[in-house]
Amino acid sequence: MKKLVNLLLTGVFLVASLSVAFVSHGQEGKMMVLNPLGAPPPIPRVPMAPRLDTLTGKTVYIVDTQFPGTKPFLEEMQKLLSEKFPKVNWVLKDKRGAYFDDDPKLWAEIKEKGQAAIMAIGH
Amino acid sequence: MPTAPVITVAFEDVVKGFALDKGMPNQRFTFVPHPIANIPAPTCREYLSGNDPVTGKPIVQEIIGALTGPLTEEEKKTGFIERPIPPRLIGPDTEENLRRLFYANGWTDGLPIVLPTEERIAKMLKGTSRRPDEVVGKMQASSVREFWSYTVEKVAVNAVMAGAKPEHFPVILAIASTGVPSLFTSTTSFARMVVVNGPIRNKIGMNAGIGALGPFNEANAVIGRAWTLLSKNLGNAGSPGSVYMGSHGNNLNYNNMCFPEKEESLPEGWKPFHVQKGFKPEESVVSIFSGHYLIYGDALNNSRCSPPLGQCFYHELIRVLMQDFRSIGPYRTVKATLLLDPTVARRLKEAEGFGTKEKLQQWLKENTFMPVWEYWVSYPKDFQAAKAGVEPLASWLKLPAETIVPISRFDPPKPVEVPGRLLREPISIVVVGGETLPVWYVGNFDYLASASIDKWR
Amino acid sequence: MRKKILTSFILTCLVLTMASYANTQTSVVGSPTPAIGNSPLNPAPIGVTLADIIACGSGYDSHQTYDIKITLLEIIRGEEAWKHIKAASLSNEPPKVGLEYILARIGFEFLARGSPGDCSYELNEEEFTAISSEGKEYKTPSVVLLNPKLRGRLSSGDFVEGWATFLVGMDDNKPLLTFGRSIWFRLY
Repeated sequence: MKKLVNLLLTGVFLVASLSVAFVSHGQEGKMMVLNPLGAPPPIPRVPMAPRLDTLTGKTVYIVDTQFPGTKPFLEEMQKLLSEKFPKVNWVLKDKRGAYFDDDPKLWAEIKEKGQAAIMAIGH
Repeated sequence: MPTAPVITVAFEDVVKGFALDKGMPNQRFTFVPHPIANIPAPTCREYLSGNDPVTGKPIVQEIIGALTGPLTEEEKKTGFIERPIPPRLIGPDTEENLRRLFYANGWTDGLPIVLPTEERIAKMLKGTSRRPDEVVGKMQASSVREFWSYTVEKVAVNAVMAGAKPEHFPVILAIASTGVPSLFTSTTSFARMVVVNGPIRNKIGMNAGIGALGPFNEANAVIGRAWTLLSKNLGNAGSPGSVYMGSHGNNLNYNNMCFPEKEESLPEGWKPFHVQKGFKPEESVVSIFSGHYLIYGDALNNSRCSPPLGQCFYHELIRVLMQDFRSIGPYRTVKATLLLDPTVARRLKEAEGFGTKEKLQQWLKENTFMPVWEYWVSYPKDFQAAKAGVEPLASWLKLPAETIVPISRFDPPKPVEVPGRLLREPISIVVVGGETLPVWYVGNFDYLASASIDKWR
Repeated sequence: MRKKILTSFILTCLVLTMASYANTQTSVVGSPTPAIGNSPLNPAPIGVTLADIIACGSGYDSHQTYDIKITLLEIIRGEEAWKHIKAASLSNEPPKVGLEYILARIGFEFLARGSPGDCSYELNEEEFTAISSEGKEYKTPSVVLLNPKLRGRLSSGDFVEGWATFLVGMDDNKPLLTFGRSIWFRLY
């Protein structure tokens, strides 16, 4: 009985030691490091504005954001849309300043006189 | 107001990411072929009559569809879009695997990094008296992208990655505090420049002599490099194709031309750059510039100085270079930064009468003119007046486009104002170099901001 | 005998503990609680001054960053708010059914972070927005504003105190006030 108990205890101890050796070997050369990445802020959703049932009879502004060399594209857009949808009033307007500048006066005009807008275009 | 944004297809990832930033992940984009700038009208029509390269649907149909048709439940959603906060620690894993992970995630500049273990971070944090959780600043890849804020600890992580030491850390924190990213989102591949002034230059062993802008000094190298890493990781400025759009990229971004001004070699009367900006000489300051490139000039290998033309003046040679380089910017207000070897600075003062940097700046503003094409682009109303026959503008129409007209590039008669900001000195002068040759660089660099390094010690 | 068993048991436990400790914890996934006022999840109450950083300038010229400090000083809601708004101008209309006014007195300070610090900031009370407890943005009412107004062109070092006006649902007991979606106050 004594021998059996001794054997059992030795066995348990051996198993435990082997676990340590196994785990330590597995952790050899491993390291923890800090994450260099910043945390993006939560984003408040902006729900989309309700869409129009039809554009017929409406005024749609085509806003030229003023990227250099892109005026001909906007002019063709206005022509093409006018041909295809003649019952819509397509108004081509330049936004003030450079392409990243705000233009509150134009937004106010569009709100007052228009019902929809196309924003274009860069490059 | 229902709005249909129309974008060229090269920017699909950018605009979708941008729309998400702004809380509009379901924006109804219409994409057209790229590029469309400066293409003839028939080609424009061809594109518009064709299909969206992303969806394959007819472009006109998509534009109309963007403005009409009921909103989906997804499009009506309110609330917040939560994004997971990255874990503070990564691992445990082997060094090799971690390096691979950092690179694969786009957290590096492609060069080997020093892995930011907690021990290394703790050492780095000894370089400042600020708390690890203190917010250093906020950064956005451009003025329309979202702001990310970052702490002292996060800056330390990126500083360790760059190979910086604790003594470099206050400089890196000062740069980070400006909120200026080293990588800018534009398609034109901006570069940045960092100039360090004050006692800290020598204390941390920076090099303002031979090879100051080259790969010869640890402090110069790692401080600038840290800025790029933290801009990528903490300012969200570095994802190619979705945030960073520089078509070529700019090699200067590897360490952002970080160097100290050689204050000890300034001629008497020539103030250090930070003193020109209102700091005291004994303050340590970092100054940030933004541009694209440098043009090299010297008097030795300059054909303008060769016989039979005889003696040439350095200020004239510099002026000619400043007349030639191309500025990029929608306001068409030209900026320049001169990097002058101390031999050049001395000659300008002692033999050419420029007793101060300010005198040279003033002379250059008054005497550096613009090509006539630049005038027409800067003042389109004058171009119309010229076409209507108003003199002397009408006569200028007959001139070849590169003809220099007597209008200052740097101090034009009708300066274009940036709303809310005072007009600034357009020419910056920094003295640096090893005095082996009278050389200079002229760059289209604009001075942006300065920050105290001492605040971050 | 018992001693032997006990000793072996203790040793085994020790060894197993070492083993589990060597198998170090995996990456700590932490979502730290946002600092007060930095998130709609943890808005600041009246009287707390919140600091933030904003940009001034735009485009290629790049923006400079500036420090701002905002304090929500006072809230007036409902009938009391309407009395003040009505007194500000007879053209001001009463709130529609189901809505009521909130007036918020706010202090705003603007400071350069470094040099040159020459950008001036155009403050407008419309930069403050009321958000419902469910995260929906309330539309800013079109009213003649109370004095002092929360407006002005600020240079570095300037401080402005003024009123902002909001319309919120009558049954919304916990609306929020935000500036730029990065600063959050309880509007209650």
